[in-house]
Formats: sequence, structure tokens, C-alpha cells
Amino acid sequence: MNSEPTSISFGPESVDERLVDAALSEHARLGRHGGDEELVLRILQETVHRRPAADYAVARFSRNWRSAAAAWGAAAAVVALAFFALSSFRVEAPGGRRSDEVSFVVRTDFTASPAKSESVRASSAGTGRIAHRIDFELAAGPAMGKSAGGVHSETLRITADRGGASGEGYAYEGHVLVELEAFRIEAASVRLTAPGEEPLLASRVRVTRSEPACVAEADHLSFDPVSGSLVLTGVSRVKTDKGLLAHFEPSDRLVLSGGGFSVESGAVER
Amino acid sequence: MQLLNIDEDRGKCGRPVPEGEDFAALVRAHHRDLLVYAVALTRDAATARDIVQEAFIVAYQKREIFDVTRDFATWMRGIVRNKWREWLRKNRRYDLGDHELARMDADIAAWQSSRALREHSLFDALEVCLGRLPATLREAVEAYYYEGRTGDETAEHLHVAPAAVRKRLQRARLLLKQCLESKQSEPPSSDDA
Repeated sequence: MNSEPTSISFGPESVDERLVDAALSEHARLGRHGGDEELVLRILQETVHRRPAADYAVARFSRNWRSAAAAWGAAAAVVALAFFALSSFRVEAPGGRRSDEVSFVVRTDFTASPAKSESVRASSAGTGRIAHRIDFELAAGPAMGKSAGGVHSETLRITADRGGASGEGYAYEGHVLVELEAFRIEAASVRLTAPGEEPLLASRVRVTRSEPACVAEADHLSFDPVSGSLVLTGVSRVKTDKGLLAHFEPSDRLVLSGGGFSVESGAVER
Repeated sequence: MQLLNIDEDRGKCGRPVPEGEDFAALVRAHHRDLLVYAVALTRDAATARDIVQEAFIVAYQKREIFDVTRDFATWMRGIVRNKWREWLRKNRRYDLGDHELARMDADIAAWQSSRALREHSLFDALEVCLGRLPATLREAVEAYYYEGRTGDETAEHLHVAPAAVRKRLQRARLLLKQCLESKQSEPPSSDDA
């Protein structure tokens, strides 16, 4: 399997050697008991974790939000809409080689509690605002489980003028407000997307973090499921209790976590 | 020796392959043996991984027609073989003849049966057999396979001619094959340690 710079072939010459050569290569790569977790993950994503397209159609609330909201209020039911899965685990291979894989589970449960039903009913006759509660669950994969300490989950509350199934996900528009544990995001639009993509994307955003205090405004926002941080691009300004930052390059990325923020500069073009 | 020609569509009246976590367990249990098989067929790790992935996807899609009274490993090897043939055709290659393929298939099948019987893997036995290699051969194997050196680098590392490395690796592989075959014939209770 190794590359050969000279004319001599060091690989197997007979079929008898060939299987041993393959076994040695695989043993060297993953050891005796290791699994090829990345391959397993790819297979499972294409098989047992593959969401049939029909799942998206479960979005019973139609694109006509007003009528859907009225139906919701009457039902006051919990509708499980989607289950996204990726995996995240870190594998230590023999010889110190390392492979990183990402495991991320997003479960979206759109809940209409009695209180919300009231607001939905009221809104359908009045402002037309809608409210969703969404549970994000960041799950540790098999190899990460022991070291990373299990599952991190977070509940988002989304309020918007309009929203519903859109393509392979869900879209909200019109004064969208996303409330997380540590952040409050106001945006012109928000998308929840399918597995393999960034699960939460927003545009023209204003993010507020209460402690430590920080307000940031940017063109785009994405949610990094691995770190649980928000990544902003096209940043126009960041205000903290220590002052105002207002000079950002278009390629700069502002990474907001629960405890702080950092600015990552884009590659310098020569 | 005859290669069982089990293709993807055989076995139409049995119970289906399990779904969900049961299927995931089958993937975990069999993917490495199939990788070894696919690497032996293709001699290319990346292609082998793609073929194994595609084979499991086919298996999942056709799980309804799989007869679980048949051996899952055998069924999967058949799918891997078909995928490998597709790859050969697509890349306009000719590689193993039917007889050679049958021998290789028989070897991996014997190992899969042995694993089921003894609850230890090809790699368990391989480690034992590596420990039994003469030191000069083991050094060559370690440098070439486990330390990732090329053949020339291995020669330099061992202070021998490249042709000597080639010969040592060839001998080591043949000795390992003999050792692995002898491990298969040992009774299940034998101590490998």
C-alpha cells in the first residue's frame, strides 16, 4: 500500500500474499480492535440514519401560517418534526495517528404549549406572530462519550412573522427572534437545515449576550454544533462593556461562545 | 475451489436483514473484515472504503429480500465483489482471475467463520503471528507497514538493499499466511497469548 519511488515493487506478488498485505495495512491503520468509525458513520448516515424525504412533509403547519397557527392552537399538541444526526467522536489510532469525526444530533420538537396556544390564537387573529420551541441536542458519539461527558442539549425558542417547511428544512422570516440559553438572536431570516449542513443559519442578525454583556451585528450567522458557539460573518459592530469594535474586514469571523468571543481573520491574499 | 456466486438479489424468501440499531451492529461487526477483503481486491484503501460503504448501502436497500438463514458475511462479500467488478469495469482494469478470486474469498471466509467460532478476529491472530516472525522479517514489516516507510526508506532504515526488503516482506507475508491458517485449525479453546 505504500508508495514506491523506485522500480522495485514491495507489494504482494501472489494472491496468497494479497490478503495478508491488506490485513497488515488495516491492522497498522486501526489496530486490533479499532473500528473505522468514520466509515461506519458514513454508512449509517446513508442507511439507518437517513431521513426519508417524507419526514419533511410531516410539517403539518402549512406555508399559510395563519391557518396553520389556528389549527395548532386548537390542538395544543406536540409534533415531533425532525431528527437530524451526525456524529462526533475522536479516535486514537495506533501510532498516534488521529482522526476526528463529528457527531451532532439535532432534534426539533415543535411544541405548542397551552400558553403558546393562546398566543397563537391571539396572533392569528391579530399580529400573526408564531412561536416554536426547538430542542437542540448535542450528543457525544461512542468514542467521545467517556471523555466528553455525554449530551449537551439546548432549547431554542423561535418567534417570527412567518415560518414553515421549506425545501429540506424550515425557514422563518420577518422579525425573527431566536432565544437560546446564552444568546438572543434577532434576524431578518432564519433557516434550520438538513443533516450535513450547518443546522442553524440566520441573516442580518443582531446577537445579544447578557453575561458577559455583548451585542454584535452581522450579515450572517451560523451555529457551530461542535463547540456550541455562534459564528458571525460580515460583522459590522460588536459592543461589549469594555467598548465598541467597529472595524472588521469582510473575511473576518466573529466566534461568540457563552463565555467570550474571538475574531478570526480570513486568509491574507497575496 | 469454487467461488460461491451469491449476488445481491439472491435469497428472496427469508426474514429481512434487521433495521436500525441491529443493522448498525452488523455494520460495526463486519466492516473491518470487509475492508480487508476490499483492500485485498482493489489494493487501494480509499477505493476499498468506498466500495464497502456502497456495499452496505446496497445491503440496506435490499434488506427486505435477504434471507437471514443465509450468512450475512457471505452475502456482503458477494456485494463487495460485485462493486469491485463494477469498479474494474469503470476503470478498465483487469485484475484477479476467477480462480484467484475464489482463493482469496475462501481465505477471508475461513477467517470470518473462525471469528464467529472463537470470538477473536483476524487481527487477534495476526498479532500472535507477527510475534512469531523471525526478527529480521518482523523489522521489515514494522518499518514498511506500521511506521509507514516506503520500501526504499525501509531498506535505508534497515541498512540493507531494497531487493532484500522486497524479499523479506514477501517471506513475511507468506509466513504470516501459513501462521494464520494454522491458527484457524486450532481448537477454539487454545490460548493465543
